[in-house]
Amino acid sequence: MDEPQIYARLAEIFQDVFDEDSIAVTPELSAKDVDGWDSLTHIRLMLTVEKAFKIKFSVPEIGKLENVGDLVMLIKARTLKKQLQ
Amino acid sequence: MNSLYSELQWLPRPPREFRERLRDLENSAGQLGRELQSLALHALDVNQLTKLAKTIGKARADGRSLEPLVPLRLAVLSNSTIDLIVPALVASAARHGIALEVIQPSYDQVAQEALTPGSKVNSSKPDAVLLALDYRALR
Repeated sequence: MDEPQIYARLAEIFQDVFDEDSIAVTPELSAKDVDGWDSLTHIRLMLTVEKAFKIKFSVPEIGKLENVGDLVMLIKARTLKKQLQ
Repeated sequence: MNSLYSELQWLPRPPREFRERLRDLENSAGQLGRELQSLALHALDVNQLTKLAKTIGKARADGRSLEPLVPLRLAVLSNSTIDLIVPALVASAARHGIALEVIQPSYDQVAQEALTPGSKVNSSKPDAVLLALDYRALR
């Protein structure tokens, strides 16, 4: 799965999790830019991403994420690793 | 976890237009409770459960009738974070014909809420109280 495909899927996920169609999912996007992106919603977001991409994150990995760009890189690395297994 | 339970496999898949149907209900003049129950009858994921619970909460705050759902006020006393469970309780209760209102006091205030007459839980006069206690905090 390449980056444009990951961003496209993430856009659908963000719309679903935040119930908001106008969120532009860019690499710079972070919690401070989205109303309602608090710690509890972040858990829902991570669970939804894991389910959609059929991957699992560790707690330290989630803790290091600073924006959507970091999340995309993590998804990319994790899906690549899965393909190689 | 067994996907039978995690995916609620005994229930039908939710309609593709679930979000739209839920949004339409906010301005619908139809029987809201029956419509909410028909949406709740599907295998909803965590985001759909959250949206459905939010719609029920908003309807209640707006004074809209949720009939034929039967009202039930449940206080949950817990020493764990239950914020992610509450929407699932509310939305799943609708599946069973119940308009559940959850009274959720502040985190880890079990004894204070139970023993103080004017606490949030006692003053809300719940129909039932759920003690959801983690054994590790009992000492």
